[in-house]
Amino acid sequence: MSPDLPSPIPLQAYLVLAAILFCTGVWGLINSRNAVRVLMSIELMLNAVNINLMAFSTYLDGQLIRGQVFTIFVITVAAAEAAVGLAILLSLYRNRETVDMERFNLLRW
Amino acid sequence: MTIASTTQQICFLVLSATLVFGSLGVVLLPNIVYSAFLLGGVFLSVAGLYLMLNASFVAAAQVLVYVGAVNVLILFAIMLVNKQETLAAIPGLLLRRILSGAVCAGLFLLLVRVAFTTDWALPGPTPIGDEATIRIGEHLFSDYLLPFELASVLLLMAMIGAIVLARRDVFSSDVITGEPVDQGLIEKSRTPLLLDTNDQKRPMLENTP
Amino acid sequence: MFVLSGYDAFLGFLLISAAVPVLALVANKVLSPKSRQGERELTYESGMEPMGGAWIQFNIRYYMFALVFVVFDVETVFLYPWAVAFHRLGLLAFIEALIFISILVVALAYAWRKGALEWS
Repeated sequence: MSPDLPSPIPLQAYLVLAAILFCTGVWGLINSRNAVRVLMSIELMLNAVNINLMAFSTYLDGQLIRGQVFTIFVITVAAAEAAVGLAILLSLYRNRETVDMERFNLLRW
Repeated sequence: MTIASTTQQICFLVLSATLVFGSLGVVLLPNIVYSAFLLGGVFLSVAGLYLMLNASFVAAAQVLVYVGAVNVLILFAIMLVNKQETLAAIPGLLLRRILSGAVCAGLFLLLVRVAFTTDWALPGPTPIGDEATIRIGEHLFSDYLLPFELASVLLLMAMIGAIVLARRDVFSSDVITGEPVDQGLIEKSRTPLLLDTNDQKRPMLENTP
Repeated sequence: MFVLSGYDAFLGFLLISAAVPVLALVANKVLSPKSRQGERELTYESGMEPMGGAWIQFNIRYYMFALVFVVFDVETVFLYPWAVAFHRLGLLAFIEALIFISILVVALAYAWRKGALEWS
């Protein structure tokens, strides 16, 4: 396909998809009772951000692809965050014997 | 020879349907194990979207890191904490869910409005496609060199922190009875013996309201 | 704007490999005789009787191995573009990559010292 033809998928389709994924992640982050599900919602939000970065990288920055480099760094940070977050969760579970977010309320005002 | 535009549209529709329903399942399903496997499906469909955006290397990295490592880590963590517990009911839970759903819907509408009203500088330059991996390598060792080196420091810190948090050092023998303590790091039958002996007397943290 | 080459063959492989498990399961469902009672219901028809639930608590050592794997998996993601672009980058990039690897060797040494790599 020659590059000057219009793309069959508009940029806005990717942006709307990423917005759906991000809002689902935010809703899950607020409403989850299970601490593991909270971490999964954070991963969903990070993936939504990555889709945005990749779409902009291809559609607007096709030669320098700085968005792809950013995505690599976001993936790195997400992996580190998952490792440390789940270790914190295991430590919490060992002390409190629960993963219910409503019972982690020592700092609650 | 590349894929025709109709095929691309079909692929995009299938991938986005998997993505949307998978993420809804991750958030809504009551069984956390199903959520974890659906999360793997969401990561895979995101990798498919990256392929459609001419980024084969990032798609491979997504499969390697997210599906191969992060999802496995989440599954292991679920298997470590999978005690079946009945959650205490919260007053006003439904109201809370509806309110937060309304806030999220508002956020979604705002994002869609931004996406459609902004005047994007389209069409941009032609994507480089197969050269992308080499270009990423050049970026990593020229203008993104400092983040690249800091990434290794971040990984070092994450690993040390996670090992320290997930392990709990115990005495090799019980101080009272003298019999050997098994080194299973999560012990349910008795309070774990901390290396600091003063902590043995400390009661478990109570659930203070 | 899809400019990657060779992915039409990839799409064909993907469709065929997605069809294989579906066809295998459907054929099994259609062709097999239906006797779902007695011994047939056991998990292992000619083995130990399974006892307890499948939801057991795993040992935390599995988590340790997964943790070390995550860190070095991410390291691979960074080293692959370096290897692909090696000829264009030169000696300085080689030294920089050595610094990157040596910082992660410190992480490996720490994990080893802490016994995260031992099954015991």
